[in-house]
Amino acid sequence: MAGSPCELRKITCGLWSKRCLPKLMLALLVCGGSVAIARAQESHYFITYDHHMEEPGNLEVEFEPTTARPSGGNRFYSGLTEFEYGTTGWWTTEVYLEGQSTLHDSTDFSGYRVENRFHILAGDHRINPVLYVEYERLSGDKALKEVVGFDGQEDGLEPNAVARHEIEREVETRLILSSDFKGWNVSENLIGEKNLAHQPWEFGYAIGISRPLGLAASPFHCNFCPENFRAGLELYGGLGTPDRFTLHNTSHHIAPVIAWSLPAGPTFSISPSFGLTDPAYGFILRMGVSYEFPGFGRAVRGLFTGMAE
Amino acid sequence: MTGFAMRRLLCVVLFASACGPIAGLAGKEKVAYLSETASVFDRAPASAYRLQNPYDGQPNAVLAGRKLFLRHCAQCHGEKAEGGRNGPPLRSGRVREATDGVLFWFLKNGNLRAGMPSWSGLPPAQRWQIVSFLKRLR
Repeated sequence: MAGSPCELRKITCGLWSKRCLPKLMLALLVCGGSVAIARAQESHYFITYDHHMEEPGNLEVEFEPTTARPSGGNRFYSGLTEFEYGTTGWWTTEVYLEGQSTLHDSTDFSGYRVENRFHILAGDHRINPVLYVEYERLSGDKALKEVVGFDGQEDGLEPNAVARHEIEREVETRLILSSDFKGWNVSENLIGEKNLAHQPWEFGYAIGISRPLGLAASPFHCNFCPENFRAGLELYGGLGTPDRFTLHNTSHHIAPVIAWSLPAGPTFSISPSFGLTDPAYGFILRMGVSYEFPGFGRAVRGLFTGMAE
Repeated sequence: MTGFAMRRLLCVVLFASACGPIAGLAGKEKVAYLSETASVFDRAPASAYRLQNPYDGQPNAVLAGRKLFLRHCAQCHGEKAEGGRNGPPLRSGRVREATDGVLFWFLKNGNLRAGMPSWSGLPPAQRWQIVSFLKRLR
């Protein structure tokens, strides 16, 4: 049974037997204990991606809890843990693990996603294109990481006992177009998602705009300097299928975002999302806390090759 | 695309994502980075040479630049800009001789192929502050 505790146990036991997990944990501790001053320059959107890649060799771990209540259904809480690694300067790879708990129902492991982003052009341009490819294997997913096709709050009404039997193997692709101008970031994502079980493509979009509250840095070390805060706005929704490419009967959301990066610590972000159309969830609350481990790749390589790094 | 072809494409993507980090591509890039950085300033367009640092001569900009350097750059270039495993030293004559505008251009564009990220996500004011700090290094 996909996503069941048995399967999860099998995966984790496999990792333990290969003695990989202890080494990875040790690498995380080594990185966290040594240099913890490294901040990525992402725009901290929840749905939209920009063109800024993870710095090479760094690992960013983010936990994103989300809560919403579909009309006529039970409130749910989903948790998504994201591991983002900068493989090279132009290639970022990510793994997501998801779970959700629905009130008056049950708690389930929803599945995983593996994602790659490729920065196509060297240098910075007026519009920077990035290609995004993701494979996801999910059942009863309620993380709401993207809205495509005719996704809506009706999807959240399905009981977990039914949803956990419906394993969705999907490929999600995005064309990310992103620009930086005088401190502002503007990003547009065109999303195409294909269920591998002979389902049609589903389309969606996400647009984000953000900027730091302070453009110049203060000369002093401070946690509450304006440059440590970033505010923005996201607009995202579904665009139907190839047969019915439309805005009609699709979900659309608007979501302000605010993020606070502690200079030598984690980044906290929060985004209340408001539904603009009937099929959309009326209100979604997303939160995020992320931490970056610089030099993670080097530390892992050192552990496996026995080199003193 | 058929289901079989799609699955085959997926396998390639998943295999590549698993192998990339293990193969240590980031490590290989640093070699290219070290050898290429010396010449990358030569690629700066003429417009980069004309840029003027609005914070030139401002001590507070140097302090702010040092703070930003420690936050964003020190993990590769070393806390004292003496160079590290992933980045060359920035106390070199090459950096001292480069104009503020060329350094600003390089921070904005980076050298992705060689592992230097583009820092265009930082507001221009913060990039100029980093340049102010770099130019004070001896």
